[in-house]
Amino acid sequence: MSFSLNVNGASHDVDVEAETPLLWVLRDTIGLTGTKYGCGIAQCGACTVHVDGVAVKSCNVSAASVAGKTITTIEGLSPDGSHKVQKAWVENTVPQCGYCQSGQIMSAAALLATTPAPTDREIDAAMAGNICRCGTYPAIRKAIHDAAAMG
Amino acid sequence: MSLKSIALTLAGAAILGAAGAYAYATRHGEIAAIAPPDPAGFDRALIDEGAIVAGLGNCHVCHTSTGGAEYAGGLALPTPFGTIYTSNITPDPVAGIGAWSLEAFKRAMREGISRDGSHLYPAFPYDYYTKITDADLEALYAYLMTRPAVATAAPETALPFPFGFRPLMEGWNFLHLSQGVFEPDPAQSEIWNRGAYIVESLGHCGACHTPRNAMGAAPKSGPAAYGGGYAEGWYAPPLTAATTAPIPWTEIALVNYLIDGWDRDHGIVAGPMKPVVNDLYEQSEDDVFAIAAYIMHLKGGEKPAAEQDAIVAEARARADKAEWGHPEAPPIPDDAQMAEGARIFEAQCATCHKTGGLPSPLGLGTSIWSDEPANLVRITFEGNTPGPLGSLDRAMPGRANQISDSEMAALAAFMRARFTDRPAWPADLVAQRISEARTDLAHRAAGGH
Amino acid sequence: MNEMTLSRRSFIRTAVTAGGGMILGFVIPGVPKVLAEGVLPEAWKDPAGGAEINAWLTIDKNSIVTVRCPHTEMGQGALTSVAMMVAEELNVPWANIRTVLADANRHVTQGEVYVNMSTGGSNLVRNRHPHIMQAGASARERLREAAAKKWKVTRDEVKAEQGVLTAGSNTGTYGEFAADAAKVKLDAEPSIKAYGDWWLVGTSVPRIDVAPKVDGSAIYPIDVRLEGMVYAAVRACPVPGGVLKSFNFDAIKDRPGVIAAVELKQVKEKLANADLRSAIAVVADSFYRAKTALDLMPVEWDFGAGVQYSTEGMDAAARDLLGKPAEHFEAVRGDPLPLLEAAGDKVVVGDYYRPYECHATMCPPTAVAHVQTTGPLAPRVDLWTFTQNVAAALLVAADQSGIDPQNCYVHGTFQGGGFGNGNGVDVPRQAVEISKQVGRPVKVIWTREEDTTQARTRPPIWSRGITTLGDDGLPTAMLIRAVGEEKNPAYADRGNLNHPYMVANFRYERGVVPTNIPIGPNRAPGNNSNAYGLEQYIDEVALAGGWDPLDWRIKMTEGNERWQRVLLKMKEVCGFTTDLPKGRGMGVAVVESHGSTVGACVTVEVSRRGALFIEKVQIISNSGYVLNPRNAEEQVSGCVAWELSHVLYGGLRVQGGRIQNVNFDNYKLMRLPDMPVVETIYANSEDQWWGGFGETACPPTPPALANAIFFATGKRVRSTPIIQHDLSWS
Repeated sequence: MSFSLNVNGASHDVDVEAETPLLWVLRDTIGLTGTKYGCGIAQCGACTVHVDGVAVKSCNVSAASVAGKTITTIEGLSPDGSHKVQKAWVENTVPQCGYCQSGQIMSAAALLATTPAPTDREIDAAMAGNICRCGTYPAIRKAIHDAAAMG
Repeated sequence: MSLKSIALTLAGAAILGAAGAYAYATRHGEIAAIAPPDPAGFDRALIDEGAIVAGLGNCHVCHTSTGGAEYAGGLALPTPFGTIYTSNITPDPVAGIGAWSLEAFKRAMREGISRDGSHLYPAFPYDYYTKITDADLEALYAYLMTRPAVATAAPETALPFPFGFRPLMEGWNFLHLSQGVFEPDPAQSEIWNRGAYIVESLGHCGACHTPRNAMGAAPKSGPAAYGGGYAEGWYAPPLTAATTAPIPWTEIALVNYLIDGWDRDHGIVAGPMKPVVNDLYEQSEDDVFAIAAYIMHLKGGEKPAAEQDAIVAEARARADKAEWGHPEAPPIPDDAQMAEGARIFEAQCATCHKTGGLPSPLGLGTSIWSDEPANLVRITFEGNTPGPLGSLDRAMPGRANQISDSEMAALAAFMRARFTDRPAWPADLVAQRISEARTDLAHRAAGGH
Repeated sequence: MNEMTLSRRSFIRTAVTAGGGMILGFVIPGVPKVLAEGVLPEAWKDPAGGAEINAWLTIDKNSIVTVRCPHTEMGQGALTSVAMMVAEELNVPWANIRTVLADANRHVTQGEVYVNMSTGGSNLVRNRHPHIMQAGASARERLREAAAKKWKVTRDEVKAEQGVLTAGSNTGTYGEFAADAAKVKLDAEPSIKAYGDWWLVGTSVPRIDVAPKVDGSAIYPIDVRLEGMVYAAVRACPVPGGVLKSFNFDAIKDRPGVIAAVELKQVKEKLANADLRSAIAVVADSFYRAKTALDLMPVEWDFGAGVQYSTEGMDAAARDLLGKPAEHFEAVRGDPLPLLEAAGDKVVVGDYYRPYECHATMCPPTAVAHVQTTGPLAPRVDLWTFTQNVAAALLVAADQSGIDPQNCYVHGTFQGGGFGNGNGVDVPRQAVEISKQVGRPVKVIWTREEDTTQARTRPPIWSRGITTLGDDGLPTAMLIRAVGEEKNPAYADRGNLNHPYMVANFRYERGVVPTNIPIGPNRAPGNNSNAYGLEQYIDEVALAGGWDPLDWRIKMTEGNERWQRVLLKMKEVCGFTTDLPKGRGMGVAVVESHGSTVGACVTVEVSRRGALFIEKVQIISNSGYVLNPRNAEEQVSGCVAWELSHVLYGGLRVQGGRIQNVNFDNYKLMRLPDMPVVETIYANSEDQWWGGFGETACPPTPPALANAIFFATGKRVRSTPIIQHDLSWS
């Protein structure tokens, strides 16, 4: 089926089966590969994007169901990597292999949008859906606090 | 949370109560405003105590609106009588309770009377809080008075006639408010008494888990108390022996459930119980053990270990075999509706709810064993995400868009038959619960809570 | 009883210090951009980055140095480490450094110009530093020689410091002399600096590849997109060793976007550790369509003999073997057997078990291949793949395509984790074969389920210790009997055979159980799982003799300088005590692997109902020198998360010869809320060696945790995952 997706402020006409997960439409159809595949069952969070500002696991959402909504991927979080979460990530050298970090950053950005000064517990709750196999968790926690401190 | 949508089907009874009420109504005077106390004047240890009291009382759950400042109120509680907005309980002198003396605060907690002498609605569970000790109220006061003051006023609650007439509540109080601090039972252990105190006062467990009478009041004792009730369209199962759970609760199962939000033999927390469990996650484990001890008392105690073990073994084995894809699983039924239910299950549920999949099998789930289908319908439609803190990775996406009403009815019938040996749910009851769940989803989609 | 619960409280945490010092405001892309039209030009043939001084680096007019890293960047910091070592000898400001991945084709066709492109075994800094640093030294000397010639002075008179050459009043930048330096032939290659005589090595440098990893621009194999590319979903026989019997392409061929089904026939061990398993692939115009069609296509397998194996069966066989003398043994010191026999039941016995685990790299194995057998560029293979050795992947591409290695190109990308799995995975072979058959560029992605089903697992280990004690409570005779699996039984030896505890009579025995499950290296192979048994057993032996477990280890390793450093430092700084109130406990363990001796001290709280909270993990590391403390500490944190993940939640289950828990819903991994505070404490010996860092903190962490749980609860957790044990106490 044909429909239009609003991704990072641009409209994309796509023609895919209605049940195709948003993840694969972003990656293979539109060509935005910053959003990653990790498990396909909404367990690891590598595919996290924002739909109307809310962090969503794009592997478990059909693309058709988010037509007409505002979708933001890692590529659209800021024009030049200057979102405060990205800056804090660089300062803390959070990524190791880096593969999960798009998802981590999108989850953290969504958290800070609703909770500007999160407690550790709120960070736990917001970030528990994102697995990092390299174990960068202490750096992630610190970077979120640092990003919050940037105001 | 607890009384967000209190089922006040008072109607005539309330009016009756009102007849004698007005005369009493004027007897509550205003308590003079004070200058907001200096936060630095409160003892640190007392404030920390107060944080525990607030957590056990789940204060922030109702007194914080979605995305709003903590304790600034404004959460809309839809009731059959109109919308009640929770109040700002931050120490702002105008918008909040900054001008309240400790005396005014205690009166509100115990009698449901605001500082200015007007009545509060029993959506605020003062019929439970009335049992809180002086020490805990003083600690709670210290805690609330040292929160950041928020000058945003919560919207006024303006219920339509006759409920907008607050003195009506005097009659309600006369009939249903039994004042008096919790009295420990010297015959019972310290832990039992601690649990009883939390359950009966701060925790206001009965507010949801007790059926409400015609005047919307929950009996505090007698056979009806803790016999199961409703909250926000969800069924709050009995805390008594009158349970349909296939495996009888034990103290440790309750502790696990109340802290982690799930138990292997009972399933996962959902609906309005989630914020309660999230609060208990933060509390001392000893207090949760105390709560569990008292609830086990309400349930008549644990079964003898050998009997319990036998029940557990049998129920687990049966539940495991009922799981989707188990080699010994029953065949797909011939009945058309059941077969459709099985098809929906395979398409929508079996990716996760399968043999070897999740740690708690569906065949032990309270929602399916309950004779009230509301919770199964709501979990299926709304999902259960994000999970409480203790079970963060056990989220389930809602399927309200994927599953039609008739499919839901078929799914419910299939699951009831497959996973339990209870009688089928009445079709009209299931249909009614589906319709109610749809109405609430639509209300929420339109911006309601 | 619920599965044990973690991390209920004590979340008031101090932020972990991320390391010190230099914040350098530059952005260095780690990899060249993949061109949409097709293949990369071989960058080294036309170094846009300036003059090529040697194969390892170029210098442009502005003295910007581009270092070619021959090793895989999979999160361990290869780009930063290689660049640091080159910059150290070249003596150029860190801000002038850029990195790219070195070219495998050049390495293969030009006499292994990068010496060794394999990345693993914690070898990069530990064992490769001499030739990497030498490349920097060589370039520096050529620059000096070029300047000496121009200024007509001797090379000794030319100083090369921080990108500037000077001799008397003469001065010039590296950039000015780069082109001349490229032509210099040295009479003799310089040697590298003496240990410790460094300005950059040993300082904390932020890793160089962060910027592209925070904006989605970093390219992993899964992100490569080529003109005309198609996608393949593959399924190898889920029972390793089995073969494809039949498939019915007709059933799916009319589905949207479906192009072909390709059978991948088994190729056995043509190259070491690089066979191709019998598999079937569906090719389509998008991955989702390929995967969906594959799921729906009827496929029949001949599972073969592997179906007989199960976790339960292997466990029963292994436990049976634990009770019998094994044929394979090493009499390390003395003969404990008569003493143990004489002791009767007055012996300390402990049994331990750790199951299969897998890597579960966040980026599932993926490869993009373009095999051209016709057309202007043919014959030629271009490959982007999951690997830890691009040169080995190149030979795989040549082998599978039948095209000469000199016409094969493996292009570097970032890797989404490696941990040992990046060698021998079938995915590059599959991609090359499918591209060859369909005549188009193809991207093969393994689903997570395929990744786990086909895992080259970490082998399971069963072990038993039997010890008798002397009057002083110290052991007089010890037998360690390990049972491994048949694919590589020697993994069972690591740490069990060569532990440093000087028991007068010590014998090691090894039994083996059969299996069809393949294995592979996994972050500190062998040591990672073996230490769980041995270092718990040491605690049991020490306590049985009335010894404090830390004092026992100090006593039994007397004279072993590396171990004494770690143990004494641990005693000094960790506050280890066995005397905490019930519900709290500390545990220690020490393991030597990959050139480093590393201790862990873990502090836990276990609540009455058995909820475990890991308060703190202190890692005491003796690796001699440390190249980059900041990166080292990040690796330590990663190691702790890695092993805690397996020991707490992991464990692959085998039934019918196939792995059962194949995705993250039932192969659980550590998440952020459960991550403890990790401290890295250095206890470096002052002699001249560099030990590894990328995996060495893995082995000691789990036994230290289990020992801490014992002191908190009185319960000894003899097998993992720990989450399945009831830790409640009263």
